[in-house]
Amino acid sequence: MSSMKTWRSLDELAGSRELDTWLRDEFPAGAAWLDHQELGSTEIRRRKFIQLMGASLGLAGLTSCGRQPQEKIVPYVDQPENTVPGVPKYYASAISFRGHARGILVESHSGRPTKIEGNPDHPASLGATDAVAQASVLGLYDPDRSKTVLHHGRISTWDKFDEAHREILQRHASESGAGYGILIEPTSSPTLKRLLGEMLTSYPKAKIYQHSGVAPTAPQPTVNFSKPDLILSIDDDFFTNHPDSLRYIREFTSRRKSGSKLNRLYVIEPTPTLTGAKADHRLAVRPSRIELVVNALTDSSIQLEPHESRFVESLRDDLKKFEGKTLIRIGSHLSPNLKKLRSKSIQGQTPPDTITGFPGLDRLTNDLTGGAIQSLLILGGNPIYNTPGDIPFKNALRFATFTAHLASHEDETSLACEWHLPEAHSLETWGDLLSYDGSPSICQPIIEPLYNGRPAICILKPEKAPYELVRNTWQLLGNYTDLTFDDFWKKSLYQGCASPEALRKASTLPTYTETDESSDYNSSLREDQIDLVIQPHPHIGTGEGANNGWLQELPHPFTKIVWDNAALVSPEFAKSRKLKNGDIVRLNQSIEIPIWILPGQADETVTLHTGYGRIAAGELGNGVGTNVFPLGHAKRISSLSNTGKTGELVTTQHHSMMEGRELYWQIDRNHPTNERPPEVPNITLYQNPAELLNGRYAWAMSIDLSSCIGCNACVTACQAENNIPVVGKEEVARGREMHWIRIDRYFIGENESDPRIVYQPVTCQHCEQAPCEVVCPVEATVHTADGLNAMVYNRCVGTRYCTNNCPYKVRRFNFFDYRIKKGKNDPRSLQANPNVTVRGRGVMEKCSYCVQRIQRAVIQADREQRRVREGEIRTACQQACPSEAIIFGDLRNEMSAVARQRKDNSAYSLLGDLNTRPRTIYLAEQTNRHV
Amino acid sequence: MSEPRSHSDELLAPGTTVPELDHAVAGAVLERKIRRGWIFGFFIAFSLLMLLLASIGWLFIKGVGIWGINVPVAWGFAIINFVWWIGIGHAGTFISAILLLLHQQWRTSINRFTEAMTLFAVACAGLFPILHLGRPEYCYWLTPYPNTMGLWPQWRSPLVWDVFAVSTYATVSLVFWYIGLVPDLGVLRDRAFQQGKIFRAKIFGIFSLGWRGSAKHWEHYHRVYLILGGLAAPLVISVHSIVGMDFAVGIVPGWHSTIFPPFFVAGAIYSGFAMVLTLLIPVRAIYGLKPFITDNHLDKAAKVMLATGTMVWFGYYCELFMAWYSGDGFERFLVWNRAAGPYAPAYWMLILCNTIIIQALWFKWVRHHVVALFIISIFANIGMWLERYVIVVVSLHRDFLPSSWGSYHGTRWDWATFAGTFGLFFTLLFLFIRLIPMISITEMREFITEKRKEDP
Repeated sequence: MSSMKTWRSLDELAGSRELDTWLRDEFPAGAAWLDHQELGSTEIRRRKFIQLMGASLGLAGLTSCGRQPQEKIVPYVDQPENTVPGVPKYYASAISFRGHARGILVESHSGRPTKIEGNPDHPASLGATDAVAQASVLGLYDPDRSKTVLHHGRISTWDKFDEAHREILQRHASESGAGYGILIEPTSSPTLKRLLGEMLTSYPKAKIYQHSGVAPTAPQPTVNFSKPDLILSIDDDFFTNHPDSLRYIREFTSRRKSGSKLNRLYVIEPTPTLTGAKADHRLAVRPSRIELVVNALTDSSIQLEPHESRFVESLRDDLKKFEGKTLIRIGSHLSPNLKKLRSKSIQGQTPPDTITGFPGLDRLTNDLTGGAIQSLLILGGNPIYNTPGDIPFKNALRFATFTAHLASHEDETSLACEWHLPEAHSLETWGDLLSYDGSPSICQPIIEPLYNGRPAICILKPEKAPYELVRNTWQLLGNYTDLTFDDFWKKSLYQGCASPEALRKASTLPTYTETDESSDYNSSLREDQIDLVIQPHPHIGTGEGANNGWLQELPHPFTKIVWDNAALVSPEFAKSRKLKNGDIVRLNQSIEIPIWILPGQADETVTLHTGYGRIAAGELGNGVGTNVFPLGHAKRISSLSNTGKTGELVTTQHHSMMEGRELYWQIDRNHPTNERPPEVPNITLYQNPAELLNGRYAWAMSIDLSSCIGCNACVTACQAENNIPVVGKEEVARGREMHWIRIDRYFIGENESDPRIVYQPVTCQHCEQAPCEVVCPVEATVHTADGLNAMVYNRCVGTRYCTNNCPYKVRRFNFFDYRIKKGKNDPRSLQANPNVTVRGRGVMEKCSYCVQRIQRAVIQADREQRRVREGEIRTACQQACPSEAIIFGDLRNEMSAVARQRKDNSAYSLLGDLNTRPRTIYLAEQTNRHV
Repeated sequence: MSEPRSHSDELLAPGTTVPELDHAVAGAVLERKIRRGWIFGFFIAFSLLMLLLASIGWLFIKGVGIWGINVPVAWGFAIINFVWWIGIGHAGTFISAILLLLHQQWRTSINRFTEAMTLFAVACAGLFPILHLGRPEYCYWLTPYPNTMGLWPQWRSPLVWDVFAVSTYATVSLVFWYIGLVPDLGVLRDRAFQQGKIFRAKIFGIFSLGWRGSAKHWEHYHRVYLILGGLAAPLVISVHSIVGMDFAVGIVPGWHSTIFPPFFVAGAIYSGFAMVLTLLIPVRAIYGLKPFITDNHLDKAAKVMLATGTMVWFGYYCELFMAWYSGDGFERFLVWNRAAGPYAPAYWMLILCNTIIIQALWFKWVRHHVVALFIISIFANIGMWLERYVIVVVSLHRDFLPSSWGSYHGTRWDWATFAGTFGLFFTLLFLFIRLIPMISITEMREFITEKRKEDP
């Protein structure tokens, strides 16, 4: 018997095998040979070493030839029905504007939402969107969104919360819900209202409160804005602050187009607004003086400043002239005395009550402090941050024994609550909303919840899916006679909205009406004090947009400040107090904020914007700007002191005067002058210049300055469509913002304190004789036969001569690698439009007239053997624009709107005398001033 | 005999002999010990060179965003420095080629040094067009090379002309310089061999390309040298003309100007001669070259400076006049903005340096006052750098649309890169001084011998 086959113990046998395996696993086979005792002398070791080295080098190459294991992959033979890879789908849905619905269409690529468009069938959208709606898709992919339920800051589960919540409800059930409270954001959602109603039925003594940073809009008689010949707005920014703003803008500007019968707009306001900027006559008045000025309309004994009385006289004259054709809008925060004026306005229909009207935070604070509420469920909102400082809600919340907060981020309120619940984004879940006119919309989920979030309705009824909850509501309330419910449901989903009668009003919840709670209307003028206006920031709102890079980097319409808020004051105000831009002042001993001098601001008035100074917004929003909520409900500033410090405020436009250059043309209908935009002669050395651009199409754009209101929707729409990066405050400070379209804002007029504010969107003009193309050494920017100034990213080496030579300065350069870093698991890259290249470092980029949209339409038309139809291509900026100021089309088609507008006698080319022959033309602004 | 001519009017110190020349020039390479001053200077220059490498490394890692450039000012230090360095390079070729063709004897003792200066300045300048690219790895796309996509450069762009202009200039300057060096390398080889320094003799032997000094060699040599001189002479004009066109082709007010090519050439020669003075004055003192590079040489260089400086001054005046005469609002604004805008100090400083200070050169005693010349030359260098700063930055920062006006300031990386190129320049210059004869030995031998004949 050979000793090889004998073994003494199991251990020995097992041990040696283990050793072998270990050797094999730790090193590749043969790796230990060099150490082997048998190799003996050093010489053999050296030779062996060289052999092994040679072998391993030789064999290393072989590994690349190794066969892959056979793994069968499945081709896309059974393609999902109606899905063509690469072709996006659009779903109708709605998003909330202060509780009301705004209809949207969501573009979805392979199941991921990438872009939001307006829903043309929705009465509050008419196909347009605002900047905030455009940016909401980025909010979906915000990497700082909360991903899990937290209990005292520790990771927990929905089951645990549901159990805890049930226990709480049981505890309160014995007293029919007394001590249990729910804090909601004002809402129009029929399902949420139904569930709240059911909650109140089960627990009659439970209490519901509501709070949001901005008061909801109460139903008021509304009319079609295209009807009145005269519109008077007394501090009512109906272009921005209304659920139906987009419709108002559309209707208003339809009376501003070249050739239409112009309306006339008077605005009295303390601080510039988009509405005021569009006014034919604007009067900047400090809030406490508004009533006096308005009273002067009827009482001629009131002494006014000369410029005020000129305004009042024209207005008085026009009110008489346009009697019965006048619309008067009065800000809801103004005193009841002023609101009496509404009776002089043409009257329209009053829309139905849509928004809930529960007691506010002041009541909740009292109830918490007094012990009437011990358990509080907060569904959305961020009351710890956006409660005015004079309501001690934060302290009151400590009295509660159970607090839970549903929110998309672990924000200031979540940090103060026992439970934090991740909220599903509105694109992730089912829901429903009513628009201002009562039309109901169903919000469809476009994507599965990314992070296990739930909507508010599911907190109240955790045992049911949101789909069921919404469907049940519509089944219960649906008012459909000639359809089955399924058809009704499908139709509503498809269209994105239904008629106001489609849902019966069933909720018995209180509804919101304009309350005159506060008696302090700031109507008593006090010369010794400074008036204070606190407004929601047009983009950041009351903090909701703070962690959204697109909104942070979107220039404020008037100051063009990004990533910050400031105390806006008039030039005289600054002069008399020796303040300059950026000086940090202390207001009412509670906040410190930098000053920004804004022409057009009323004298002795400070305007502040909310939404900044967040401490738990997320990576982007934390510590940006100043929180102005500590000022509370103050209407006046009793103390203003210069701290001597300065803060860096970053703007995208440093110079606001036109330096006498003819860049922006205004034509007043009633003061006809010879001042018309000059015709530019076509100077060329070529015999037949038309032959140079002989494409089948001739793409062109026209921008109507009469219609543009400067709302920035196009800027964000472009950013979403074209994968434009966010670069941050420091880079913008260096002048490196990346927006392909910008809104130039100029102040016109002699008087610094009372200028006319005008807007001019500027994007690549697609010059037929483009200065950028001549100087590019590598042909990275070239002209297409269709007249596009094309940018070939792949070919660009980054000499930047093109941007130097571009008189419009619309080219943008990737000074750094601004792409979202790969491998960091950053969901923001999911938002990217797959049809647009994401540009890398060192490459120039600029507006392409949305060439991806053009090509899609051209290919489609070619397949159908026809020409592209008028209106078939809409650029992203055009599509978002609520005032239809941007028109795109084909000049070869003589009937196209763009070809007709080119022939309009108000049409002109920007810097046309440089002979660049832009394909983008502007229509001069038409104004209609009182004669 | 009439009054003895003053020493300073001579192109050669009286009584200078060939052995003295050999000792001073060849000796500086072969026999002179490395002194502390050289080591100290070289250490500083080399440290700056390392700073340049660090700056370039960081630039390649992060991108051109580390500089202060932006929109609207998309060109900054890189282009300013490029134009400045290449301008400095002009003096060398001007001296060696144009003055050669014009039979100017005073070029003989300074052409070697100034040609070396040209090469090193072009080396510094040549870095910037590549570094300033957003994607420098693709710089070769500016050259016409066969590729599968059939793509060529875009010939209408002056940047492409620039590639050819600068690379031709660098090549011709290098060849011209080297050809001129061959007989001297032969001299060094022989001298080293005599001194028993065999290793050095071998090295010089390799680079002297088998130069034996035969009559045939000399005949070929002179012919080639003259041809190359003829080739190089137009390049002096063309290179900076094309650099001027880099701007003139653009439509930016302040760039779009037909006067730019001659204006730039004059400015280049002006700044080049300023740099020649800045360098020669200390070098001739340290290395005992005063007998060969006399005050008369400095005087002549100063006269060239004065002449070209006056042309530059005329260019400034033309810009002012044309702004008024053309009636173009953008041009008029530009002129006003230069003089009273945010960069006004740079503009007035350049006016001071380039038009006022150099007026001192009208006086002979100033031209013969070494310290004064040195200071004036420094001012001229600063003035010309500021001129390019004003052309690039001030024109761009406020162009057509006031909404897009911006500002520009160099960052620490801009300055580091600029300082780094001084490191490159002076490192090369310090090595040159130790390794290669600073003055053309053979040409000077000829010159001395001829002088002897004329003036025994």
